[in-house]
Amino acid sequence: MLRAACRSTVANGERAVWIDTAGTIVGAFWENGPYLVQPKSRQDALKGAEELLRCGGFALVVLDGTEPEGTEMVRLTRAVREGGGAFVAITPNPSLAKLRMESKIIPHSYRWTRGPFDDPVEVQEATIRVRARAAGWNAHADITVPVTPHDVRLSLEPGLADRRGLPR
Amino acid sequence: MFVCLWSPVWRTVADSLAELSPALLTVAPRVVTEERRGGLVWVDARGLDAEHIAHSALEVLRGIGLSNVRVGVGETPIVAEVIAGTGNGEPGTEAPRGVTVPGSQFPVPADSRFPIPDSRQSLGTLPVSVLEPDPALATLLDGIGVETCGELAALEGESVEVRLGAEGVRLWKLARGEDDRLIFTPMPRELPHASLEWSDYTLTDTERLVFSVNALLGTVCEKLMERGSLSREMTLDLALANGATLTNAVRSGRATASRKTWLRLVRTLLERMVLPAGVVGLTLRAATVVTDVGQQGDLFDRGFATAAATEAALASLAEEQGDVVVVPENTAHPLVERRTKWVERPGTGDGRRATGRKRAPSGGLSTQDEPPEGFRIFPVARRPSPVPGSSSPVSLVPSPDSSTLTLYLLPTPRAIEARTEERRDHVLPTGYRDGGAWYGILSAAGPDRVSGERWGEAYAREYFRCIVDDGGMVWLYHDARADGWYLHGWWD
Repeated sequence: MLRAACRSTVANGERAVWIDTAGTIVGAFWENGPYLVQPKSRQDALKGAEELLRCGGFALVVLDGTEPEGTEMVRLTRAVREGGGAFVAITPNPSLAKLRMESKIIPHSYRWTRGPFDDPVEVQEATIRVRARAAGWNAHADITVPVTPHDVRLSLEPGLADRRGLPR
Repeated sequence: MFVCLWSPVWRTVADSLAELSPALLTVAPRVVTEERRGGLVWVDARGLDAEHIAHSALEVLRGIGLSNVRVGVGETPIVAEVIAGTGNGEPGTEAPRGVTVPGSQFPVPADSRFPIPDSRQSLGTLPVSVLEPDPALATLLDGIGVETCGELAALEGESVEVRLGAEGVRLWKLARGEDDRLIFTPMPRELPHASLEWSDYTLTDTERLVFSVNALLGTVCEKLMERGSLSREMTLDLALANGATLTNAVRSGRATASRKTWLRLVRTLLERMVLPAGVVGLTLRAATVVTDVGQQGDLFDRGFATAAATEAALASLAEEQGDVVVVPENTAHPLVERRTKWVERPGTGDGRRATGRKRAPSGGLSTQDEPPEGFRIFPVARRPSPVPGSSSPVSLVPSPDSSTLTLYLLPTPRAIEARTEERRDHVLPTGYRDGGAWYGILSAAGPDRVSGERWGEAYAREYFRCIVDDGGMVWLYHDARADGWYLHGWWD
């Protein structure tokens, strides 16, 4: 959903940046539009986040893979206030956050397409329970979202054209 | 003050350009020639001693054999031009004040001066014909009894406009000594540049060259900022020890005077350059300079106002951390972790957005739309209160339709211990231990078998998409060659 927020930000004519410290973003599933920053260390991630927040050019900054602590969070909060953008940190320690959100996929909510022997083949969608909390407010919602099918390539050698299935 | 030179013996304007201008440039900063009236030579005396310059110009011209030259000095071009052009022997003309005609009927006294004439008085007694009116207009003026410039200048502007039209108004203004012609175009200012030379040694090391260029950039960027300009292109000349000079153009996507941005671009250039010889000198010039005002922005582009700040931030990021702003270049490799090569995002540092030019969100909700029931996320910090129920809007609300569970990968697949059960032609994971904790697998889809690389690092994997009892969906694979289980990624 954060990635959807980034896309929505860009579609609205503003800039969004995703700071991927752990390098978990899969290139094949990344859509151009938001900026993607892959810092080499935790410190670089925090410094980059602060700079991007403070410049005021980004409406949304997402920090993934780095959990700011203590004074780091205070510093980032000041940068947010200075730049006027939105900052989302994916962390279990959301101190100083105006809005805290947690989400969890409901285990038995997956909907599968099944094969001829009733075995699961492809996940179609899943339901996420999202809980949001702010000062004096607490709410939750269940959202059903599709699952991006992953692309398993079975070509024996990379670079070779896969002509299987073509009429001879 | 304008000094105008005219002579009936000048043959062509080309002669004036070829012969007169270099000579006159020894006494005046700027000289311009004009074809009208058989060739006029204008000498720029604004801010200088016009009389002295006029005398010097005459002496210079006399020195190259031109004695029959007339000179006029005036506050406006028309006054100087008329003064220089009249008194040419035509019947009915008189020698106006301020006119000297060396070697002619108006000889220059030894202590001659060029009294600066009042424009109206100087033209007042001159016939209208000195202004070279259109023949039809001249006839009209003759018909209404206007013979001198003074008589024309005395008329009311409105009546001149009504009776004589636009051409009459132009002539009326000239008769009043009003002339806004741009005889001398504005002087282009010298573009900022800086250079450095050394003779005791030669440089081939990129870092040392960048160090020297950094010093030059400091000067050039400071000059740019002093004059409120930005540079879109700079030229770096490398003087080599073998006498050759390598000229390289460095371009920025957006005009900037940021030293950091230019240093980053120059560093990139130097790192890619192969030097045929050592460098003994550097010259850095701002080749294309634009003014730092009047950039017309797209009123509907919300990011335009912050483009410069974004550019500076991204340039600073790139300067400190390298190419960390990246985009994927995907190939068709069967292994998803080897499929992507991350490359520097083009245009990083210019603040532009590569995509997302759409004005209307595709599938997303605008800030005016009502979010769906139970779906409010991502408050914008600059809006005062994100708390629902308040009057402030909650924006950046993505549509649930645009949200998907997407695969994320661990940088390196992590070895796990797996519990499995036998199937007809494979084993199916039913649980795994990662980080000391066991996770039960509720359902698993697979295997998706991938193998390859006959000549390189061979691989043979059986991938499973597994629903874990905590609700997550993970991507496990069994390495058929090493007979081990690995956690490769998850959906989030």
